[in-house]
Amino acid sequence: MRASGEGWARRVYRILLRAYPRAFRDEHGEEMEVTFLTLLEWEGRRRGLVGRADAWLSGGGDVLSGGIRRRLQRKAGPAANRGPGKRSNASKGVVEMMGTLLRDVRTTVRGLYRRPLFALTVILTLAVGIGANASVFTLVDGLLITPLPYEDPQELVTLWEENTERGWSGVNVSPLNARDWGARARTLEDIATFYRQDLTLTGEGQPTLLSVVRASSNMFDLLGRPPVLGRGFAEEEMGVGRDGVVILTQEFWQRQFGGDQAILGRTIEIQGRSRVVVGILPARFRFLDEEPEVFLPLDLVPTDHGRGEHFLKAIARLSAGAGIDEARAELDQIAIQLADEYSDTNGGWTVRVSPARDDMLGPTAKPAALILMVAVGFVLLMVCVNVANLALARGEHRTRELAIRTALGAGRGRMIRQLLTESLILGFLGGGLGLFLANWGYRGVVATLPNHTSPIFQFGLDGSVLAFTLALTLFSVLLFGTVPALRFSRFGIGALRDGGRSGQSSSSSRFGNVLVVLQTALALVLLVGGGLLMKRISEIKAQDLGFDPENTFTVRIAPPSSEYPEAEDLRAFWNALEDRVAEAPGVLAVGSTQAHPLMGATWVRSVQIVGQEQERSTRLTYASGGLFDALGFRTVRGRPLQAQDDDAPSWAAVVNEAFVRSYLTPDVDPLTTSFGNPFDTMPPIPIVGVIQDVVEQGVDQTPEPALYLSFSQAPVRRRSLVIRTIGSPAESLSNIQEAVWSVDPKIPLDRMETLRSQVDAQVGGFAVVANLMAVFALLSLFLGALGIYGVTAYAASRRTSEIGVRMALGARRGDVVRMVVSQGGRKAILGLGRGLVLTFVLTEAMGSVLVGVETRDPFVFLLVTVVLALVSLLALWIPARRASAVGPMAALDQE
Amino acid sequence: MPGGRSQKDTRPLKAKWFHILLSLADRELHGTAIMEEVLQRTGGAIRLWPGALYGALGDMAEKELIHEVEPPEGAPTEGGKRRFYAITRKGREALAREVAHMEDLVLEARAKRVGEDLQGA
Repeated sequence: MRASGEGWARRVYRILLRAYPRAFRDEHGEEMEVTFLTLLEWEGRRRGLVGRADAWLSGGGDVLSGGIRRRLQRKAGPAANRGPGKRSNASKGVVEMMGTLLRDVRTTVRGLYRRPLFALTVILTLAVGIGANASVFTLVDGLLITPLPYEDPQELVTLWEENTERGWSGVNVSPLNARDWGARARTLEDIATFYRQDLTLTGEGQPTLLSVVRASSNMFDLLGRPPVLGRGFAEEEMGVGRDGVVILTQEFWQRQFGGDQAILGRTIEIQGRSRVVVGILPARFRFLDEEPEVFLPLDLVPTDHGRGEHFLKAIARLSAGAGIDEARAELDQIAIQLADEYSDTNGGWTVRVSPARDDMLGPTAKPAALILMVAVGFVLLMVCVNVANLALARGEHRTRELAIRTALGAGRGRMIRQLLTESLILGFLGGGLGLFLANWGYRGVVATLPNHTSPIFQFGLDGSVLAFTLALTLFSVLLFGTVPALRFSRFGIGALRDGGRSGQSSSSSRFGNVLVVLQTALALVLLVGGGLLMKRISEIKAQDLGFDPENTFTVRIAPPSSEYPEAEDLRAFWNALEDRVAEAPGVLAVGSTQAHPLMGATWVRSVQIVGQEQERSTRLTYASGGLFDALGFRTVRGRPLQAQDDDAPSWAAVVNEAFVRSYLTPDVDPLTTSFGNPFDTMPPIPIVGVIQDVVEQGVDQTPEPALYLSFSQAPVRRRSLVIRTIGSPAESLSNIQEAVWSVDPKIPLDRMETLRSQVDAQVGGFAVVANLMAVFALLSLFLGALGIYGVTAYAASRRTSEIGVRMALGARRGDVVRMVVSQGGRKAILGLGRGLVLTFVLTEAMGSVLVGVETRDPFVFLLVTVVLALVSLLALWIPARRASAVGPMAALDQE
Repeated sequence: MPGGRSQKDTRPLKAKWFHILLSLADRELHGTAIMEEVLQRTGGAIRLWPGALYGALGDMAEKELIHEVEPPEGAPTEGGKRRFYAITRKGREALAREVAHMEDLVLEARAKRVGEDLQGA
């Protein structure tokens, strides 16, 4: 128990220590930690819980003020410390200021202690607001702010080829083109190329699949992250037969070889071939959005391949002083030159240059993060409005106290300072607690990120999050603290005469009115935003995927080329595998494909439809005969691909409905159409069936034209085995493994996942945004109701005597309730109106960045407005009823 | 008020600095050990919080009152890296001056019979 308590304290203190500059922390951090823990324990022994709390307060203050001083000193430069006279003057001022501050703090803490409910409410509300902001900011920080872990990462760009004539973008790069760009572009310092491969690690126990990146020799220098042990690749190691070396990532080295340094120079066997280990990469080395375990040299030189073969990924570093726009302009020119020189392969091809980070983030992450930031910012605004409201209400109770202090000679400045100190203390307590909450909050947010988020993005409460939280806390204090401070510091001694009700009532009720309008408007924006996104999510979840993800799982299998060198071997292997698995108990259907739906692979080909001039671009999926059953594809016309298509080259094709819609005129029967065979010697391939559209690429993307061919036309080595089981896939798993291994006991089974989990992971990206928006929306509803309730209750309580008089004069309870509700209700309606305008503007912005969200959905707008109106009414009605319950005598007694 | 004196070397030492120098007067210690000794000596009245402690150690080293030394052989380090400090000649002088100043104050107080009137009560 104690040990875990200490671990906890250590972690918190370590976070606090981040107030210090890194250099200081590196030097003294560990010792400071020990010193603090010793003091904490000592205080705990001496004074128990009180001692511990005191230690945290004093120690926390010490580390924060010390850290800030250090940072300021560093900013001012060493020279500022030298002038002894200056420094002592300054420090004298500081001492005096600290003295006053301490007095203020003490007074405030005593005051708050007397009204713990107020303090607690404010602190908790602030903590929720600030914590939510810090959590979302951690996400934003990791995705958009923290530099990529490379040298001068802002200079790194990714290069893709594009062919606008054929409507292709984001196409891999051909080796010769990459070589020529590098040679001709002066805006690029260097270009490195790579491609990903999965190979089998042999000779080390059970064969396992290795995630491999084949990289050009300049890769690690280009990234500015050379191996920590050994060396990088040499130019002469590029090319087939010369690539007998391997570089290990730190993680693989630790896992596989226990971090043994003697591994350098030894050989390991990959895919049946010995390779000498020449280097170990640094710990926490990340490679773009890939997760390789080892690196091999590119097994090619550019001249091995034609210009039309696009299969490499390329990353480049901008030359010093060159901007990305200049690079784009220059590469456009070079692409035109190349198209002139090699018109048959390069005609129509251009180059896309994008910042490396943007490329890895994808198109939605940035706007989604910003939308969340805005939403959570609104929540904080509402929190501040609420707290200001609470402070106002409480302040009026304190009018007498403040008036007495004024009478005793406290100046206005002193009063403002006192009131601001109170806000500051509440703010920092709230902010601190918020940070504490964020420590869990951000983990929750990050955990729900889609699992295809690149591991290069790391999240944590780092310096910038702390700085952000601090700034946010100060900003909140300014928001909720200023109005009450200015208001109450104005009270004259007059407040003593009439119990503090002179003068300020009208202005405070005006402020209350503004609060109600603001709260309602902000809540409406958040509720509509959340509502729209939730609706989109439920649409995505309910959409017809075109396949049945239940009770189905996929596994990636790659028979090694050393064992199965020829097309015939592959065909035999895959046929045997499917047959054997189909016989396993619990298996309903089995099929294989080079890429199953949602796998994120794109095979796009252009095909020639017989009788049409233009080439058509389509997704191409190779499928075994069992695949259609295993995935539950639905045939609309004709027949699916069948087992008999697997063997003899029967040349049959199936297309989806999108293909028919896009490329065939309505008067043409697809079943009479055929494709020109790429090998002119063969007969055309007839379309034998049309299936319903299948969501292949992403759940938020509309299905593209797709073509399904049998493996008999291309015996692909590495495939997904898709297995539909009778019950839960988990129950049949061991039977299936046995079946696979009965064909080849050395075959590794990779990425075994249920289709359902893959669908869920896909929905995840949207779900994160939508769920968070929903949380913020509910929070805003609660805060809005609380605010309206607070304002109304307060206004009603101030009118107790007036209500008493009215009731004494014969007003009924219902009249009083109606009066109070209708006055607040007008403000709420005004707020709803303003909120609707604001919402229209903001959701429009949201819709423009989150594709597929219907921003003018009348149902959501109506529902949200009604809900908000009802909640507001309730928040008005409760205090109104309470006010009317006061008997006339009791009300008049208060005078 | 002693603080009003203009001569630099007669300005009293800050209480924390005084206690740090006093702890280092007879042996070399690391930060945590200094803190613990001061804690014991003052019965918890002076708690050297880490920020203040390591800030003071840095400032004092800059003013050459103390300097960092190699850890003594077999010194307890509680498993981590510990920086040990020793008092310098200048530090000893400052400490001695402060102690002399305190003695003066005590003598003056005795002369005024401070506290004697409370003893009977």
